[in-house]
Amino acid sequence: MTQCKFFRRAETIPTAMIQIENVHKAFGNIAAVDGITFTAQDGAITGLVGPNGSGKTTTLRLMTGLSRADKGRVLVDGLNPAEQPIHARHRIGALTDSLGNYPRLTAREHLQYFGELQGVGEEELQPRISQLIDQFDLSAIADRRAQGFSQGERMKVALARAIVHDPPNVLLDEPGNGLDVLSARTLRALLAGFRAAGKCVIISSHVMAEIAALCDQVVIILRGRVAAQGVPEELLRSTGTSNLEEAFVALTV
Amino acid sequence: MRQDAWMIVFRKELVDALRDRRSLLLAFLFCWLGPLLAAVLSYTVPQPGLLPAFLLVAAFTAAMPLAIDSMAGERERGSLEPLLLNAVPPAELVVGKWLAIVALSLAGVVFNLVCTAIAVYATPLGNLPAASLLWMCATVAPLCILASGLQLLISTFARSHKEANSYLSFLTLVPMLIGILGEFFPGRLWWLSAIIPVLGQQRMLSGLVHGHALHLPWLLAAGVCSILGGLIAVAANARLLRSEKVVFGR
Repeated sequence: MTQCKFFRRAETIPTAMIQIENVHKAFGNIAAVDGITFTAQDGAITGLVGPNGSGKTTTLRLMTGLSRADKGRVLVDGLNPAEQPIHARHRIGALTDSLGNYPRLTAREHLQYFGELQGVGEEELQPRISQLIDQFDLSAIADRRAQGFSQGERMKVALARAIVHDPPNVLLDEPGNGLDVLSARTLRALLAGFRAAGKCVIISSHVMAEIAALCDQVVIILRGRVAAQGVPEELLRSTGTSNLEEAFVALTV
Repeated sequence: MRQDAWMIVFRKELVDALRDRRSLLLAFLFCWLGPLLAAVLSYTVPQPGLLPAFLLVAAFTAAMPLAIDSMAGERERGSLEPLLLNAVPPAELVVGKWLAIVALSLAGVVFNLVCTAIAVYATPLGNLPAASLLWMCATVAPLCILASGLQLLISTFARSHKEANSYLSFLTLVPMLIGILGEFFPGRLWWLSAIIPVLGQQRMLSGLVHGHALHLPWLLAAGVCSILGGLIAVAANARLLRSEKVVFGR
C-alpha cells in the first residue's frame, strides 16, 4: 500500500492545509452550516468558537467526509473528503466529541487496533505506540482496560488513537470538555507539540478562554455563519474589547 | 505487509465478545437447553422433535450480544464515528463484524450439537448417529450466515442498544415458532419450503432427528438461499453506513 509515503511530509504538498469554501449543510429545514469560509494553515492552531449548536461539529464532520456538504467545497491538503474519503482520512486524525473508547480494550489495544486499521506497518506500529504512550503519559494505564478510565484518561487515549498514523492534520471537537486543570494543561502541551511539528490543527470549543491561550487564528461561528475571524489581537481591535471572552459576547449578543 | 481491514475488525470483535463474559455465558446457556430438555423428557416420552427448534434458536442467540454491541453499541458509546474515520472502506468493517458474528453463531450451533451427542449417548433419547449430527450441522451452518447478516443489519438500523435488543429478541421468535410449529405439521418437504430460510432448515432437521435420510439437492438449495440472503444483508448494511442519519444517530 502507498499510504506511508502518502501521509508523511505535509510540506512537500503545495496545498497542504484545510480550506473551507462557502460550505452549506442543512438538516431538514435547519441550516446547520450556512456559508462558512475559512482556511486553516499548517503549523498553526485554528480555533472554531461558537455557542452550542452553532455548527462547529458539523463543520468538522464535513472535513472528515462522514458528512457531505450540500453546497460549497472542503479541501484537506487539496483532497475533497466527500469524493476521496479514504485518501483524505489518511491525512486526518480526528478526536470526536464523544471520545468513544472500547470499555473492554486496554489503552494499548486501542492504539494497536486503530494503527492496524490505518495501515501502519507492524514494524513501525510498535515503536509508534510506545512513543505515544510516553508522549501522552499513558504508561500507568497502558495495559488496563478502558472501563474505569477518568475523563482525562479517556480523552488522552482517544486522541492518541486518532493520531496513531501521524497525520498532518488534526481535528479536535471540544477536547477540553470535562478535563481538570492538569489534563487541560497536558492537552495544551500536546497541541503546542502538534503545531511545532508543522501540523494543521483545528480545535472547536465553546470556551473562549481555552482558545485564547492556544490559537493562532480564531474563527467565531454563530448560527452556521462566520461572525468574525482573525488572529486574537485583530479580533480584539475589531470589537473594541479588552479580552476574547468579551469579544465573543459582543459578537454573540 | 498490511493486513486486511476485515481481519483486524474480525479479531477485535471476537476478543471483545470473549471478554464480555456475562453476555457470552447467557447466550450459550440457551444453546444447551434443547438437548437438556430432550434428555430429561426421554425418560418418559422421548421427544427428539424438540431438538430442531432449539438448534435453530441457537443459531440466532449465540451471537446476539455481539451483533447488538458491534453496531448499536458501537454507535451508542460514540466509537462508530472514530472507527469510520479510519482510512478503510465501511464495507470492510461490516464484513469483519459480520464474520465475527457468524463465528460465534457457528460456535453456538456446534455447542448445541455436542450437547445433543452427549444426551443421545447418556439417555434413552433415541438413535441419532454421528453422521446425522454432522448433517444437522451442515444444514444449519448456512442459516448462521443469514442470521448474522440480518442481526447486524437490524443492529445498525436500531437507534439504540435497547432498541436493537428488542428487535433481535423478536427476530429470535421466528426460528422458535417455526421450530415448534413445524413439528406439528410433519408434511413432506417440497421445493418452496426447502428454499425458505429457517423453514427449509426446520424441515430437514426434523427429517434427520426422526431417522429419515437427507435429500442432498434440498440441502444445497436451502444453503445457497440462506447464504445469498446473508450477503444481501451485508451489502445493505454497508450501504446503510453511508447514511449520515445512521452514523450520527437520530
